[in-house]
Amino acid sequence: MRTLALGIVALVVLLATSGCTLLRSKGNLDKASVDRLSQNLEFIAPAYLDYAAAAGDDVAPADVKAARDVLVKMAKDLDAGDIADYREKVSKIFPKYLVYVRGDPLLSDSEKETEEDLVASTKRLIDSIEKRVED
Amino acid sequence: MPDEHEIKIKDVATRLRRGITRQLKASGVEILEEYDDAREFVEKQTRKMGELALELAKAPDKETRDRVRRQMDRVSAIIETELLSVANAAAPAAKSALKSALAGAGDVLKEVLPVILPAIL
Repeated sequence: MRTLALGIVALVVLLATSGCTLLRSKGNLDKASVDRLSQNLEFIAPAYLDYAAAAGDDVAPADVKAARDVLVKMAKDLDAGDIADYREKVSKIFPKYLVYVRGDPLLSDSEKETEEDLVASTKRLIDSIEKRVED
Repeated sequence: MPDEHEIKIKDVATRLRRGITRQLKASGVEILEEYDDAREFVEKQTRKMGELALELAKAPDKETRDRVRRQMDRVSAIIETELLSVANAAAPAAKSALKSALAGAGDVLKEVLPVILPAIL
């Protein structure tokens, strides 16, 4: 059983390595973490904005592209001094995004669970980046 | 008693493990062993990746394949995100060990999956 568990972990490590280089820094931040954060937001932000626009919530259509650009750019250009502000902004987005996802009749249960896991892991990554900055 | 689908998923994981074990450093595994929650989370994602690999192989049309690939991209992102969180939380020595464990593993998955899936389906 332990062998299987180790094997699964080994597989996980493999899956995670596509071009992933740890410990490169951007300012005080780990570049691999910031890049990953940016890519995750490229999954989440456009979908969030599409949901919001379709639902007629708060985000005006003309603002959708601008908001998307800001969300993605913030992660790409994130620096140590921005992380708390960034976390505050995305923490407002995530709960509503999950409401949209859970109510999407076109997504399977498995797809909904994946989106929830993506948000959860992204939040943990932001927390870990912020903690590292504080340390 | 596991059903046939369950057995195939485990088989995918086992065969993949055998194909890549030599490329991994034990130190990287030990780091994850210290983080039970993260380990369980990534194990869940790995299992899902196995399920998706089987779904992809059985997908009847392009639309289904695209949906499965889209989800696989996200699961892969989730795994990397979780490992990076662990790396950020780890002590400096552990980070170096994890970096060492990750180095050189490359895209073996992409090479291994097309070989093993036809063999077990």
